Amino acid sequence: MLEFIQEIFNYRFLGHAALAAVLSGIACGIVGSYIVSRRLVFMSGGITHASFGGIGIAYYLGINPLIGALIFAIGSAFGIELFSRRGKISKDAATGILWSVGMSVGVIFVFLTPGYAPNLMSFLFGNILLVDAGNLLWLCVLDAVLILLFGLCYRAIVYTAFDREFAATQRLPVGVIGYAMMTVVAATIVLNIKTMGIVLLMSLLTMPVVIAGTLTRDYRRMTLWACGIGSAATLGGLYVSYVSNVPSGAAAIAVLAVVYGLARVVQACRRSRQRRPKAVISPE
Amino acid sequence: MELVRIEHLAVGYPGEQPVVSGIDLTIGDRDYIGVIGPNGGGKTTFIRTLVGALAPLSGRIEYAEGVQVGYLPQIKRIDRNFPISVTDVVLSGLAARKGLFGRYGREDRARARELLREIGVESLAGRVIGELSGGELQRVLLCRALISDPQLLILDEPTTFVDNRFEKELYELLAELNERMAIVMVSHDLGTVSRYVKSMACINRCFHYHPSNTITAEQLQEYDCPIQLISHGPIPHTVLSSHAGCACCEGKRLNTK
Repeated sequence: MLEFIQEIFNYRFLGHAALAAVLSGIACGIVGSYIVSRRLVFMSGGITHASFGGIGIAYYLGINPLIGALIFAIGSAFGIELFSRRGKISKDAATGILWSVGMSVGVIFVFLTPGYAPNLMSFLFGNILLVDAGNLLWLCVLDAVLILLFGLCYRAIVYTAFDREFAATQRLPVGVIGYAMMTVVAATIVLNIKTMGIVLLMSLLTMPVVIAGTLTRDYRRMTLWACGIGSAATLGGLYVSYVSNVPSGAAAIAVLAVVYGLARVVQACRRSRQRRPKAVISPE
Repeated sequence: MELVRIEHLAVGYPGEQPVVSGIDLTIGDRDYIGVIGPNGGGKTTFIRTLVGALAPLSGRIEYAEGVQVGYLPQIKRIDRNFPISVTDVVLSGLAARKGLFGRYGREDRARARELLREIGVESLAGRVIGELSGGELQRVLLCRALISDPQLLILDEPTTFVDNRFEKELYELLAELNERMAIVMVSHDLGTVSRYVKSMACINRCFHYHPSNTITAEQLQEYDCPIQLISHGPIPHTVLSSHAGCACCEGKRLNTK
């Protein structure tokens, strides 16, 4: 472990990876608490996968794939909202359509791109060791925006998420809050694709929050716990990857799965202790 | 004093036929209006439009300057798995005053606790809403509606999931609150409602305002408002409309006074 910590400081790519793990954990903790509480996990999965369409088109056009992914992610987030509000189609059906259409568009354009085909595996499963200074800067900006947004409008966001109709009667700008939150959800997804990959990212958005939910049911505390658990698990995954030479994203999720199992055992023990009747000592 | 004026209002969902149309109503200071009608008649759609959660399809709703509205929605609309504490739920009733960036101070929390004490649920202050029973949650939502000291309190079926004791307490509390605020209350229970309210509105795709708290079977028929009738008396009991081929109904006339 000590050797691993030393190498984080010695090797720039490992330092970048460790920093990315912490920043991703914080961003996914904040956004994950929102999507889990609002039951938007499936929709977020749809946005994540739809963004692959943008990556494919960006490759084809020779522009930065993250820009393509961002346009597709925000477009699909707003599209799902719009489809389900105006059309006769339900939110989960709209999500399912965008999910698979986005993936197929991505695959088609990647294969249409002349010359060297990009490594699809790194998009699907991520590679935290490939995070560069530019990615880190974007992750820093994302975390700063999320902390600022929640720091300034925490109650308005949570009250709107809890009871949108009541928030509207309180003249809170529920439409603006809803679209702003969908934008940051989409941005968080896209900027974390490099760290965790399209397929594995949903775990980093949901598992730390679910684990935090076994410790507290208060939104603020749950978010703080989720940020800590997500960062620690991603760092743990990096360490497991360093030691055993397995992909770091998958290792992080394995760490989260173990922590979740332990958290449930602790929770079950705590509950059974609370339920157990206290021994009564008879005077005889 | 006039709090709200509603003129030629049609309510419903965008792009669809109006659910209720032709609504004209003025809500004055210390009015107490019971809104009755069958399921699917448009009571909740009207209430949601009145509180601003739905935009009117046509017509207008005009609030007097600075009128604070307290709103208690139907409990089934609340996501009880959301990780939010009872105190935070109550404090959310101050959002109109605090705005997007508002800070909630010690005095706001003290006011929330005071209200919870008044309603008899102070011990729940630190709990999360997922741990509450239906009746407890209903009381917490009432505290949320009252924390802004509204001049108009709008309640959509406030007695769902509550026991008989709290129901009675709630109606007594509302009568007390009516001394300082107007109340609009949706209910299925015509008998109990008519005992407390000052006037009634029947909603069943159309809107009929009845400026007293007694309503006859004939008037309900005229309003096309097929709801269960309950008679008043020393022993609470339900009187159903007469029907053919039933010995108990022979020779009896329906009396709802």
